[in-house]
Amino acid sequence: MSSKMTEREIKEKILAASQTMSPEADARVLSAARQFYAEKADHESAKTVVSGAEAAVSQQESRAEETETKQTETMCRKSELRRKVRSYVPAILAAVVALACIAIGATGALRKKPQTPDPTPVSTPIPTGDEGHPAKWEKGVYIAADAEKSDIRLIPTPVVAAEGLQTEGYRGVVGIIYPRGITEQEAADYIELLRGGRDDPASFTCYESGWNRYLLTGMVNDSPDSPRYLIELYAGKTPGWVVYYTEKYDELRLESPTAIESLGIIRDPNRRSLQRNWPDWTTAASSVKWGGPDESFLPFDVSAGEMYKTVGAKLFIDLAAIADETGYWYPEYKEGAQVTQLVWFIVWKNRAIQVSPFENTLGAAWCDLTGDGEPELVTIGRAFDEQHSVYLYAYSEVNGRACEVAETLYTGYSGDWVFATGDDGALHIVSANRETMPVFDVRVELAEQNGKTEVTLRDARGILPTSASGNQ
Amino acid sequence: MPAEVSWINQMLQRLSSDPDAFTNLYNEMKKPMYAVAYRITGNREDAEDSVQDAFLNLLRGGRGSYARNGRAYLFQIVHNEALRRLRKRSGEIVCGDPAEFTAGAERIFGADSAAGDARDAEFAGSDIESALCALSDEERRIVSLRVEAELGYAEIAKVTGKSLPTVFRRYRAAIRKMQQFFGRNGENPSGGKE
Repeated sequence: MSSKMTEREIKEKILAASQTMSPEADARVLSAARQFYAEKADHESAKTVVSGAEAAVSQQESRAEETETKQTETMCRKSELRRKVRSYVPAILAAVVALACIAIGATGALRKKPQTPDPTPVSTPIPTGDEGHPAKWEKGVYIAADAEKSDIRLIPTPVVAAEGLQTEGYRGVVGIIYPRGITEQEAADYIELLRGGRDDPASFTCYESGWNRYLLTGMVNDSPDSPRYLIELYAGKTPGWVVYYTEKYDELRLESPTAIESLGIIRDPNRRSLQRNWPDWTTAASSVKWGGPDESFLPFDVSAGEMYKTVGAKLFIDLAAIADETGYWYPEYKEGAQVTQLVWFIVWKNRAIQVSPFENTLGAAWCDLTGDGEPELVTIGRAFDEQHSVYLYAYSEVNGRACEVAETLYTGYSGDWVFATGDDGALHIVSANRETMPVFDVRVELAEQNGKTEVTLRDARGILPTSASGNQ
Repeated sequence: MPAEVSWINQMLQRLSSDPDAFTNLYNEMKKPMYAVAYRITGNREDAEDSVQDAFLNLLRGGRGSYARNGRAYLFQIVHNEALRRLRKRSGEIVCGDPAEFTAGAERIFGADSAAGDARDAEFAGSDIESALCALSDEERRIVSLRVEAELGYAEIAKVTGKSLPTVFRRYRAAIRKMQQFFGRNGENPSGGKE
């Protein structure tokens, strides 16, 4: 029976096999660098010599001129006057030309109709029938970005076909969702086609989930100075949804591609309030079978779990919970439902951003808990007691089953947290502000003993006093 | 331990006027940069030339001092340089075709290469190279940037121009492939053969 090699062992093998530059190549590089510095020094010293010589020549000329002036001064004051006039001629001519230009420009401006600035600097050529892509407009939902408005939106094909993106005031198509299956390559090819000659194009990836739906995700960066956007799109047979994050306003929005208007700001910049003007959302929710908090956590099939893994590094999308006033509820995917209820968690810049108001779950991270080279999803939660102290805890799925790996990681501060994982497979939990808040670097160690999963938490100081064990 | 980004940035800022900064930077970074270039070009000479050109471009360009992440910047230069050389040469990495590799493996192991006892000792000696060659060019690049250059996923995304999820996915796929490779060839984690 063959045992699986871990990622760490593979890394070690790769590093052991890494080769180095030959001594000859080393010598070549260093010699070329020496030559570069020598040439640079020569160039600079030559510049010094040249400037010295120029100064000397200039001094000589000045002395000669002085002598000449002295000689001529007594001879003829008229010639000096002429020389002065000559020296002013270029300046006078330039002034005359400038005045003439201003006068012409002013006249032209009076004659011209007032120009309206082009409100739509569309940088992406829009394919038309003439360009041989007529069918392309008929099938998708188009994503357009406008850096000035800090906005990204979906535009259904009929709108695009009828009005074009120019009328929308957006800078161009940055992506597309098909209402049918496309491969990643097809998506990439098509986006390549749509984005045309953009210098810094968006980068998109299309994932196939287990539900015959497709997730398209990518970054848009219109210019080095413009805000960056993270877009995730989830499209399929049923109307898809888009959730996006605008860095400028620190805001998450959820939109339906069928109803162009935004369904509402899900989270305000303070991450507290929730707008509940989601008519379509409510409709969607009615078609979903709901489970209660006592049901198994993360009721996903294998393919859905696979989707998590594919997107896990940057953004974590979780079928999680919608809270109402009565408590926390877990939606359950129902096969054949018209709309799948989704609530999103996104890890943005290593910070878990919670779309839903479900406060128990702060976020998630990928850790290789079992050391087999495959990361496990660890969800970090928190709870409050009567004194409003917060308890952080972590739980995960091991071997396909929910397993609480730790509880009460920390008691005390309920602040903003950052979660990250390290190459060593440990779960590193650090505070958002290292200066004023405690920092944890927690290693979650799992060991199977008597059918139970023993959990040990360690940090830099050793085993955490609050560590706990969880049973699988 | 990889060189700190702050140290690299410092060296890059002093590069134009301080030959020692160049030497220090070169000595520190040449190995991982060469490793990455080698994985891209699959060729020793091209890899060495890529590193040389990368450093000389760095000197001539003088823009390194503006880099916020000097480490990623250096790898980006050598990555692009290596790709340029690869394209100029033929666009193909010698070992980059998995089908070719598979055919080679079958020649050595026989068609039923899953049978571990037909293994060739010489082949097993270069097992990791073979495993890397079984990856696609892109996967190999990402693995090299991750393991040999010790870059983070976000940095690799920037260097390669891919989205971060793509980089992560490719990396995971590559690791899985190599795990399958070693599984198929019967090597266990302790380094012995079954």
